[in-house]
Amino acid sequence: MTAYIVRRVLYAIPILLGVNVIVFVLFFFVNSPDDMARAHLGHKRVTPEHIDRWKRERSLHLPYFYNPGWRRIGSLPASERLNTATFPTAGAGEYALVVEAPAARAAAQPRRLRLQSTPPGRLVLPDAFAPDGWLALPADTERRRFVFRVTPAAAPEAEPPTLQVTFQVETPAPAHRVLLEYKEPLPLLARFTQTIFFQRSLKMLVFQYGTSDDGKDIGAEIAKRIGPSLSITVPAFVLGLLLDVFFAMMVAFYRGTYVDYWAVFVCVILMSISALFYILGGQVLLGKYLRLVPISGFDYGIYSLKFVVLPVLVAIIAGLGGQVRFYRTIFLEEINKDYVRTARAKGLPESVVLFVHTLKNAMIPILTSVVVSLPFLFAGSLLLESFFAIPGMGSFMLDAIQRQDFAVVQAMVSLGSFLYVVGLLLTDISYTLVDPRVRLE
Amino acid sequence: MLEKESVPRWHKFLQGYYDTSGITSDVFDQAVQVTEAGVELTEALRAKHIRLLTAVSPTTYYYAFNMLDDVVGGYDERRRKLRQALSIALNTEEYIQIFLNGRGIPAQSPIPPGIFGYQEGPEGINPVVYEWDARLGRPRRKSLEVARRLLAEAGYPGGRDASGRPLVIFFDTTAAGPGSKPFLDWLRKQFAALGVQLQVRATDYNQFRNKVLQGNFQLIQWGWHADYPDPENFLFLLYGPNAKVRSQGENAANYDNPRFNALFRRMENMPNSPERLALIREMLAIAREDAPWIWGFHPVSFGLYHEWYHNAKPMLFGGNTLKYKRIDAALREKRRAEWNRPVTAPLWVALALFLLGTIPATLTIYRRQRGVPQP
Repeated sequence: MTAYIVRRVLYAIPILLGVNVIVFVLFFFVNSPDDMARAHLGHKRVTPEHIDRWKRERSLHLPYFYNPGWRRIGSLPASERLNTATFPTAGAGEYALVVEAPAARAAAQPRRLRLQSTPPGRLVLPDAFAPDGWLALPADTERRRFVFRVTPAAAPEAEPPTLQVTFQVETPAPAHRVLLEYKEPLPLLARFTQTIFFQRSLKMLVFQYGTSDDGKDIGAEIAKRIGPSLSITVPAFVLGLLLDVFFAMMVAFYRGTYVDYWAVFVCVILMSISALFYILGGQVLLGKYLRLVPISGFDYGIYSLKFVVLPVLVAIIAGLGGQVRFYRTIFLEEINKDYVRTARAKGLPESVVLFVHTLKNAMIPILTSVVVSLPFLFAGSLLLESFFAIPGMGSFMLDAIQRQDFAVVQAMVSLGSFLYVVGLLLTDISYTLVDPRVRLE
Repeated sequence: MLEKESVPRWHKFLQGYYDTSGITSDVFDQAVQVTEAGVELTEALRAKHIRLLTAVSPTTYYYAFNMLDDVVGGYDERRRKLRQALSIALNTEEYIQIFLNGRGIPAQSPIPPGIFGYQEGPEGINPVVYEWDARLGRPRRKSLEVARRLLAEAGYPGGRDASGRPLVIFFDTTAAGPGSKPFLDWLRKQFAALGVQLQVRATDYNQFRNKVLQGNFQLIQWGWHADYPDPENFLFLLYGPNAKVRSQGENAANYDNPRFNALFRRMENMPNSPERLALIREMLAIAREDAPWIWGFHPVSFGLYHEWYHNAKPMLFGGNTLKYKRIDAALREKRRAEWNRPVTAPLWVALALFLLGTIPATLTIYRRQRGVPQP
């Protein structure tokens, strides 16, 4: 059995890794980090510098999967018609000059770029550049990158060479700029860990969720919100299970009588009605007209009792119809087996036959179908939490989706996939525990 | 905000657990009745001594034509008449009645009431779209006949161009869910009255923004809420150098009229005075004639306040009103207790019925134990 568990856990690792990669691709390829920045910073008066800073704060300026080492060391916006700036270099090596222009129409103007070094002659420029360092850019370029080299000095020098960049435009627009990048030689490990995938996605496998897009620590927030979620899902689960089993047994006991027929009829009706109706109906009936419980809200500690009654009641009733019908079928199947006839022949009262022997055997399928939902008790119920204003995990996820907080949504999806894998593992283990005939190899 | 759904929020406001509330469309009839005298609260709310306060928001919602487009943009006579015809056909009054429960004022210009430059009465109406009804003392929208005539003069008699094909105009929007279907159907109907086909292109917000940034649209709907109470904050939305395509400014229509621009530069920083008003009126006359926008409406905000919530007025600029508010906490507690007494009678009845119901069940068990076991 231990070998089985160990093997299942080892299987889970590539599954979680695969989910991680797929979620990463879905999140970051559909919405590039630039789109995320704009979604957050709004659209009025946002400069490329704002977007860069936003991305840098969240490690979103890094490459996706592999970091060859390019690092920005300077930027020159086109705020005048002739813009010049001097940048220090980090010595010999590979550098790049990136010209960025916003929407296509703005770039449709003649521009010239010039690159020089002090001391002169230390640059190896690409062919597009003229010998005097000038380059005329085609009018419709939106983004262009030129890689060049700074040659090492013949003799050791006091300080590294500096670069003069000159950018000449027709219509100054600060959003139109030139960036200088340096290729830093990174160690092999850093080339994979200094990436968005490692910083923002892989870390979630070890429950390090980082910070949300508005600066809060996601791990701390989750820890705060698990309590309220559990205070609703655990009572609903336990009480719900007890009541469903009890009602199903009662109905199985009275099988064939008018109780049975009416019960099935009522169960189908309960199943057909949407959960939203129970929520709104419960709020209006018990909260507004009978004024027995608050309509919505939450408080911590002992005061949570009055707020939890209605959501738990609604959760139980919403699940009652389907579960009682299902469990009743299981019970009826058990009742028609041989050992029940033997027990009756032995002279046992009907109640003992039902509540002791049949129950134990019927619990096998019931338990295994119920154990898989255990981990999701932590995830909370989106619908209940949003209508009853419970500050739990469900409302956390809902808020994050509405505010387009990608970090939180990614964290919750990662957590959800982990819970799912745990749930399946628990189901298999519980099979062995309740049914001695089943042996896991 | 913790209370995410409007239904619990509304019920809790009526119970006294929230001090103020807005009014959503689905509870509008419960809260407000519209009579000849205007709007007033329903009996149920008046019995709780709730107050209703309304205010016109310094906001304008408008439809912008892309002045760089070949079909709807441009400053020549024909295309100007096309835009004017469409402006008349889009019945903003009907929109306000159907979709806003009457909580809005049709806009005569970009400037909303309360901002210098807004004028009531016959001098303030948009003469391209409205006539002044002296008998009722308010503007009256010109008839569809006028719109059809303008459309014919624009070269689209009956909504069809020279080769007989219907004129198609694209409306770009982010409104894609089932909730916006009534609005889009209504919009199509407005244009269909002239024989013009409106094609709705719904996309997500990122793509919509890109389209507007690149000038890749014909008609969009947008709005502007005042940042400060000055007409410059609304008229700059039509200033040429602020064109969105050129400089990513706020002029989404890319409207660029040199006469308007010159007047804007003059009136920009002037203090409020009769001279400034004259400049603004000249600018509005130019803009109304060019019709780069269908002027839309100014929303009216409705607020409900409980009796213990003093010094409350709808504050449309800035949110720093907390220091003025006064709450009579004792009165609030008293009313909450009064309005929320639990009714336990039905619980006892239900319990009694349940206990009674178990009697036949126990009898059946007893009888079964005595008799033959059931199969």
